[in-house]
Amino acid sequence: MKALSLLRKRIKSDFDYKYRDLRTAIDWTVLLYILIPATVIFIAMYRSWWIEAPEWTASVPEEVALIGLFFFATTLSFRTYVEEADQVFIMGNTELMVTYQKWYTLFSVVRTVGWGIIGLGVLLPLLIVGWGWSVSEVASLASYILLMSVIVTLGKHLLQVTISIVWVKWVMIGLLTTLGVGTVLVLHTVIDREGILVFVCAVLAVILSLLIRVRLTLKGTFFQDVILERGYKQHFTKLFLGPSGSVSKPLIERRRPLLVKGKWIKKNDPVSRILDLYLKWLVRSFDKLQFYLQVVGWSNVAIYLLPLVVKFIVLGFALYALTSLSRSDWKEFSDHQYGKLFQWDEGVRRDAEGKVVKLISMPAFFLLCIVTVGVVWMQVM
Amino acid sequence: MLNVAIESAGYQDNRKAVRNIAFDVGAGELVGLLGGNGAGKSTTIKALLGLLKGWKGNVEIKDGARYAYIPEQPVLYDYLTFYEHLELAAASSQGGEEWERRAKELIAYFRMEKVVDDYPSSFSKGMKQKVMLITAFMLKADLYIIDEPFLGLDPRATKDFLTLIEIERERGAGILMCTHVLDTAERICDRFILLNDGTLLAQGSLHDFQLTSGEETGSLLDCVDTLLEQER
Repeated sequence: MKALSLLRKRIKSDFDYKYRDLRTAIDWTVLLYILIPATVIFIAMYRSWWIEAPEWTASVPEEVALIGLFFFATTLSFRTYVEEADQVFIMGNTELMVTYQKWYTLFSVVRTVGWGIIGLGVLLPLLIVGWGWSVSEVASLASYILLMSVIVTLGKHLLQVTISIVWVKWVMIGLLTTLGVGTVLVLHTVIDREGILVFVCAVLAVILSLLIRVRLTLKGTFFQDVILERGYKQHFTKLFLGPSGSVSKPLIERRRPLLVKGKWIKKNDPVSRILDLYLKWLVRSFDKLQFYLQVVGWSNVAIYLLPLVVKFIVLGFALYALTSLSRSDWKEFSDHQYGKLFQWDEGVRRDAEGKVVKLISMPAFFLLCIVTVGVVWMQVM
Repeated sequence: MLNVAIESAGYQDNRKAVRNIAFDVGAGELVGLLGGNGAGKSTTIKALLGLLKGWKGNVEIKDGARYAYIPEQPVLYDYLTFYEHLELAAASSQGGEEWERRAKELIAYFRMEKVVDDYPSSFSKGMKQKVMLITAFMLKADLYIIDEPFLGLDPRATKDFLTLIEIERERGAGILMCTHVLDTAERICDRFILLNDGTLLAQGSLHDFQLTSGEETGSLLDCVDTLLEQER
């Protein structure tokens, strides 16, 4: 198989995998009631921006839009599409691997540029109609922001595969992103000085070609690439299924728990012991805890903002969501493969489930009740 | 202790991985479940543990008897420490008061004292397998169902494991052990069950296997090889 057809096959396989995940999460109701109306509204808004820019463009500085565009353009990751099994086949075929590296580098660069152009396209009416940019200014912006986005995307990738200490890696990525934002803002101040811009773009192009060269000649990062690729491939899976049914790895992996040591529940009967362990598991699985906080937080916002009758509907929905969530997490905990190694006492399992649902959902529900009563009281007064 | 009669079991309705398998495991007996890759050993174990949907047959475990299962691949929670795993196993299965002393003995036995408060996700494959073994032996079950226990264990841990098996057998526990390590199985098992292509090919002692295969002085490996070759 040739390198290009191998890459093409893997890109298709990656697309199919993500499409399957999307289909799982987005059924026809989401499509009909959320996505299609949102698309229609966006198209209508976008068309209206070309005629008259929204009022907020008068009060929001254009630099904010440039920062937004920069972050949008650097959202995509540099992809290598390598797989673990490549160590057996491709790594033994140096010539194929070298060509494969060139193709994936080219693909990632083109993909990032294409994504940046989409972002620029969305922002275009605001720049031209709202902030009164000329076509030459937009062209200058496009040249340096696209170059910067590729440099930062590739730079982040190189930092991820070469630095093993997690906090150093994230500090470096943070610094690189800050540098990118700073460069975009500084270049904006000289956007009308063509000579300087051409010079800076030439320097950026040299930096980019150096980074590409580093990527193409980089050795010993195969397994880091494989780990990154696995994460990218399962991006939607994590996004949609992260809160339940799967456990994401924490940002900083620890050998021992940082918090939540010792016994939270002092009683020594089996149900209390299981409850204690379940709470530790839940609190340490930060994604799960975050999901509860999101349900409570958004419900509070909705209760505060929405009309009186809808407040109570939201309250009912929140109780349902919290109960379902805690039941689903309990099911994940008690149905774990480790729990199949021995016979559960069914009475203990039943009692523990009842207590778990109460213990997790009730405090959150009481908080929502207090907020509802408080907001209603303030409105009535 | 255990009486198994599986009519059919598998992962899809139209492809039954195992068919017509019947055997038993007595108290204090160590039975080896043998067969090539894909013979149906793990499917049989999953079926008898009730982990498969839609299997047909009957599995009887002696009244009041408790089982413990040691899978081929260690399965552990990401966010519970090693000791918390043992605590959960004890609490979930009403392990009584004795579990803590027994757990500490086993932790020392397998030389795992330094990592009791660590997450097992940071352990090597062998250490994870030791957590599985400690969980099972801590519960003092009446029946042990063990799937490929030797994978990932270092020689010392393997020896420790075999000693524990012997102690449990003397205590009266029945053990069904699925393995590919035939020389060890020959040394420690009382009886063998040989599966091939999802069906029961032979069962009995080494002597029975020698007679059936015609390898009168052959080892278990020779007998199994001949029996499988005759079936081709």
